[in-house]
Amino acid sequence: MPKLRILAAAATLWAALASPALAAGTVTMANGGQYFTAFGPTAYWHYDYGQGYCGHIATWCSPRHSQWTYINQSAGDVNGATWRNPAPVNYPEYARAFIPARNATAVVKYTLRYNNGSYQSTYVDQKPYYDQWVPLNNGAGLYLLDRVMLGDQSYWGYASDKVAFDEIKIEN
Amino acid sequence: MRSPKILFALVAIAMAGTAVATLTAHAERRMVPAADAIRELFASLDAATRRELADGCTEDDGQGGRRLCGNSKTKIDAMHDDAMKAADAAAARPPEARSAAILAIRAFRKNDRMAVTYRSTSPNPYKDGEEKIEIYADDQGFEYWIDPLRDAVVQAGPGAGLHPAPRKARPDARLPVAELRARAVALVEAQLPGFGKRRSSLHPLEDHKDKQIYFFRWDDFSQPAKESEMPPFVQAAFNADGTLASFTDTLSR
Repeated sequence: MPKLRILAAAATLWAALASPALAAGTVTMANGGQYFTAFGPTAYWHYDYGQGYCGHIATWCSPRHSQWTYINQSAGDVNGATWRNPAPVNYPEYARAFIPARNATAVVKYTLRYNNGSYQSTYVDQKPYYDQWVPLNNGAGLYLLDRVMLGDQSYWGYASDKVAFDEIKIEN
Repeated sequence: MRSPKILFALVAIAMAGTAVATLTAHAERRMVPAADAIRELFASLDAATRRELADGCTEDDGQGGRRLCGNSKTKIDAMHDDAMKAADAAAARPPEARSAAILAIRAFRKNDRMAVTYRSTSPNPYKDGEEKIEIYADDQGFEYWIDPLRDAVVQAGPGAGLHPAPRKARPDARLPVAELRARAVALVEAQLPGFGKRRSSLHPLEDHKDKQIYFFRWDDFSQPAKESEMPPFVQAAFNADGTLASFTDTLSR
């Protein structure tokens, strides 16, 4: 189990002061940070220090690494993680994943939880992306988007493919 | 990180007369401001969701909670989609103003008949502040992020979808890296006028993933980026067979 560390992620809630129903802002949640929980055998987790958004791009956040595991081609997730939005808002929200340059080659399923109990699952191919933000919503915004989940199960590609877990950004 | 985004109500007010017309007939009949109409939709959604979670069809979500199922799910999903569309309509450019964006995408893909569908307007993840992107999709699973101020492509690549489409080049279809590099430079030059003059001041980077996708990137490290932004860059990624894998341009302003 990776050591959980506090991340300097913050939600911008200024708009809520003006309009209780309408907050606006951005939340960035780091892998290994306060709003991140991972599961699965410790031995299957690998860490790339100095890689990923907090690893070598943003100076304000930590921990400064991305992490990855090989895909699991049988049923169910062996390793996986959840990023919990500390401040979901009553407005269309968009989740983006930062795909690091290294060890991100798999087609994987992200699941977004929104509106207090609805789920949207989408497949994302991490391989065509390199140190950049990629979309997780399938289309429009999602109301009260409060959780992003990613597992290592994948029926596509090769057993040697790697799924990267790095920062998740939720914007509205 | 703090990056305040514009409050949609301000947008809605600024776009009054156009955006309001795209709201529900219910809102039009009552002549309520766009923000109020959307607020009503959200309130209805909240109330209906609470009702269905309490009395409707629910099941274990595997996360220690409950999720909707059956007719409850269908009903709430429809209400959710309606509310999201209304909110987007209030924040988005009118459809007629988006035609230049669709033309830009077709020009980018060199396919003037390509089907392109508008999906939504959202914050630009590469920028702090209030900058927006418009999100479009083609019928091949590609998603495009457009800067509505310039009608230019910010990013293109496989979108999040219901069906994955991984690909691997056939060995006989692989192109030399020099050819892929030439295609990348040509694409970037087409998208960024003046790139040739600027190129020497940018930091070049080339890399690949499993020798299946080749990345050609130029970062601008000449000025410190804002705390939560990335240094501007342009990147073209090609599959080994020369087809486009992804493209990003945060250099252009």
